Amino acid sequence: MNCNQVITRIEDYCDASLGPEDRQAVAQHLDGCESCYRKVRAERRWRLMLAEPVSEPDSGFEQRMLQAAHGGGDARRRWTTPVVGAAMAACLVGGLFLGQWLPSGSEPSGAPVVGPVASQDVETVNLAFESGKALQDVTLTLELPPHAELASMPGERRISWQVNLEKGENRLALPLRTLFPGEGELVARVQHGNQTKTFRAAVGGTQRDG
Amino acid sequence: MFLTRSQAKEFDRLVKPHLRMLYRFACRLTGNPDDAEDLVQEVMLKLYPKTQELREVEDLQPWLNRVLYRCFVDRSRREKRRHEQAFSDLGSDEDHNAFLDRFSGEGLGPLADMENDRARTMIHSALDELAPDQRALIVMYDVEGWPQDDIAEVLDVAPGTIKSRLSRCRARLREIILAKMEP
Repeated sequence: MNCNQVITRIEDYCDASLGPEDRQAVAQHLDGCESCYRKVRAERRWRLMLAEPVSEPDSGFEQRMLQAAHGGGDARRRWTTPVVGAAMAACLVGGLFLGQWLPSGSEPSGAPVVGPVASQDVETVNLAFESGKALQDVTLTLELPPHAELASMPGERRISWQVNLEKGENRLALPLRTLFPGEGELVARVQHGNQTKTFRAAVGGTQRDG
Repeated sequence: MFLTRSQAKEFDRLVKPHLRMLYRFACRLTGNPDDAEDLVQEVMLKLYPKTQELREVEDLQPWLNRVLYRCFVDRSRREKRRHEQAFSDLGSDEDHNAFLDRFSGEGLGPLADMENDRARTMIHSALDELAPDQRALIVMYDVEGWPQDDIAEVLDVAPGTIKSRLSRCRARLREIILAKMEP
């Protein structure tokens, strides 16, 4: 095998993906060719440099990530965009509303728990409320203003969920992304059986700090 | 999106064992710890409402990697920091040869550390300039050493195309490094 043939095989040689015969032929050539041997070392060198270990996260990493998902914990960044402030207010209203609206025997207990968490331009708002009894087939519909979307459903302006509410605490997590500065209205509709309730909240325009 | 307390615990139970692995992958892709943590957090935000779906995934590890990869690509596109390169710009053997000749100096004596640091910086900087999909492929194959089938699942491509894609990505990376080595 000559130098040109070896050079075309250096990647595969370093990947250990050459067949036994080719591999042996390359190895034999490298034994007697300093130039090609240096090239193989160069190939391995850049790969090794690329693969140097990355730092491990600190011990609180897992907890931070899980709390962020739950929305009520230690936010890495506090929310600052107007949309989240307004959406948060909307969710508070929603929580109170749901608590009052749910059928008898589901006396709401405690205020809704709302926690915003930011990740780049995505910020999660959580609604939590207590339901006194389990409810089947509750439909929740959200209509979002043009300048905001749910991170998990980009481009969707109107989203509906069919949900079952369990007795006790239920949570609604809204990962909201602000697409551009603006104002609008967040509309939420909650339907159970023949009853439908609608509430609206202004989104945008009021800057709040975390 | 409604999660009961028990569902929230189920979410934690499912994803917690994979968080550090996700962080390492994110760190390789983004190039720095802060962005990596942001990316993992974004994945968590996205997955939390999908706990039921998570429960039904047979092998969570590659599935989670795929979600993180997609978040990374989406984020990169939003930031418009990188532009995807076509996979057609395959470098020639001559280019590869030229690269290996230039990169073969390993530094001796007191300059060795400085030369190695410079080379390391150049390589990571070059990796950062690759398109997100190219970068991810190099990270998964050359850095993390994942099986081709797992990589194909993350990238949503046929496993048989991984090696040829990889050659093109490496050629592109070498091209960028060479440009950085120019005086």
